[in-house]
Amino acid sequence: MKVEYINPFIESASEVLEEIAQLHSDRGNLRLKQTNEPFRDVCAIIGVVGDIQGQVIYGFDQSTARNVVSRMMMGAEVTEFDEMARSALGELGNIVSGRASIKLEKLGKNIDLSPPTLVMATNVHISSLKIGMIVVPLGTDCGVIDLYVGLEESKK
Amino acid sequence: MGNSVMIVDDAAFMRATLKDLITKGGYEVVAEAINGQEAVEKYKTFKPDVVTMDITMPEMDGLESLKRIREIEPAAKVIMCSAIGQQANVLEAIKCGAKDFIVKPFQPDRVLEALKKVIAG
Repeated sequence: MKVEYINPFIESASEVLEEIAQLHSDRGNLRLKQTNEPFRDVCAIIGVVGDIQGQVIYGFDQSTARNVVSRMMMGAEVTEFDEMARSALGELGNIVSGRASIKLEKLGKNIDLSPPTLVMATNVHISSLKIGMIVVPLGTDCGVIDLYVGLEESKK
Repeated sequence: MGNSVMIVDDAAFMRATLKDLITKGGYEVVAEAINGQEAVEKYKTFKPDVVTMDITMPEMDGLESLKRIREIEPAAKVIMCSAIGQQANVLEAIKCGAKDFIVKPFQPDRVLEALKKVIAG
């Protein structure tokens, strides 16, 4: 996978977290996701089609997800994942990916995004993913957010 | 009572955020819709002065909904409000009759400014 596809998502995540949750993030080391490694418990999945295709997944632990959503909602306490909290996380994934798509357009790559799918479960494996994924941990005051990026050039 | 607004977005979080800021700006939110199809139905019922329209939504997306609403009311005022702000999307929306295009995450001032401008225009 080309780094030029991953960077727009990392940059966008960092910018958007700052803007909508006033949350600073520090990028950890990139690594390849192991096949048997489960995803984090709360995942916002965005499908990518176009010049580049695959999935981008924003993964949170339960407490991290609650803290991030709380910040997005001006500090309101989040005790359960109701529709409001779920849609906030989905929207976060949508906005980060949307901004990344604007950055990719400037690199000459046009992509379309699916609406976010939210998966909440422990020990999740997603077997439809055939593309190898890079994991980018983003350290924040709310906990670590894992950005899983699995993208490849579309076959012409 | 201020001008009437309909908010169209599939995310409850985004509808609540927009409703709060638009209401505080002195407008009346008369309807909310969670997809493009519902937006078309509610447009006919509520005839809002302005519509804020997301693009990526299930059932019917915002661009299709924009086209249908403009068929019902050619003078309909619709502001696109989407995370998907690539140039091609913006141009397509304007071509379909959108009056403005706001890229999420939005600044509250930017939304109120757009509403003011579109209602005045």
